Amino acid sequence: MSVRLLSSDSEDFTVAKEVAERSMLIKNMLEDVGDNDNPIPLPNVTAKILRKVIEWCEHHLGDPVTNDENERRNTEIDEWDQKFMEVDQETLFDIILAANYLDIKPLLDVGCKTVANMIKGKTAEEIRKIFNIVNDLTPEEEAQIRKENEWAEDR
Amino acid sequence: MTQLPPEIWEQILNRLKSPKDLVQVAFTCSFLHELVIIHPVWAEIWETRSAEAFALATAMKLVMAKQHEVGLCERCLRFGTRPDGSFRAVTMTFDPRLRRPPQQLCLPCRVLLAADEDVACWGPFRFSRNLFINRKQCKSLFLIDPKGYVLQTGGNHLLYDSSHCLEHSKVVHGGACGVRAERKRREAQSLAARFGQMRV
Repeated sequence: MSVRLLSSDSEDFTVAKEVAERSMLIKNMLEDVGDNDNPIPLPNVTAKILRKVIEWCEHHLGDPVTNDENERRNTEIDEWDQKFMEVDQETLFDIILAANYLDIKPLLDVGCKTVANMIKGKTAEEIRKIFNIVNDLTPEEEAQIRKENEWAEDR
Repeated sequence: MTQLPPEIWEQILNRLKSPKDLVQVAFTCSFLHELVIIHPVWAEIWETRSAEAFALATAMKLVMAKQHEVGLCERCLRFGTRPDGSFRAVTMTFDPRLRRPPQQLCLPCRVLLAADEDVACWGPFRFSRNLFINRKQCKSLFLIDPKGYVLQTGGNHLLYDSSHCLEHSKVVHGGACGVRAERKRREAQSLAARFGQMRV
């Protein structure tokens, strides 16, 4: 059985029900509306991102669903997911937002781990550059934070 | 940066376990600083030490204050047990081939990782296996008393194999970095004792 999904830019995707049901949001919607030919509107996800999300869901279709938060957090990203996440930062953030909106916890997890890995071992200045963060701390605030946490300075 | 809402950043930060990484994130901007302060890791670290009640927002400050005092192990997230010497969490430098950044480690973790320590760190302590030292030398060089190790070579003079002493010193003090920290502590102690005598 297949399900139709409608992206925010009105692109229609037809996917297997099991693939779509990786998303808890869609699964709940399907349970509510029952068998229906109408496409499910996803106003927060563009076609570009929805295509990526469907690709991920198809690849991970047979994966066991783990509800253990700690287990999910502590497992490393597998090779396929690492390659999957090799995208520009805007796309990466959009995938994370889509995973959050569609309630696909394992995909959200992979996205968050990817961003966390981008931060690991970096200095504050490097993190600012990577994520284009504007330093809004006043020199006094920055000095105070550095004084309190000078231990972390010896990178 | 503004693309991701705070709840997603919280989830990202929850995947960061190293306090040093978190502190670097806190330096970046006020938004992330606020999120780092309430990160559960500070409460976890503090609670492993004491069940003392505290406001969550002060946990990071408590951890940092304690870290200044006795050091914080980046591997097991436990504090050192003494403010100085080898019982403090001290920074270990690893063999460059391992491409592992230096880490502040507690004594038990240093003992576990002593084999990975940068051999250059042992430079001042390196001896040939044939070199035998007496008990006094062993105590001053390796900061261990070889009495309990039964390493004497026989004969009338009690001499100890320096490489054995080095191995024992690694275990007792947790690598060359531990030996250095312990030496520093003893030097400071003896200086303080001398200064005290002078003042008297």
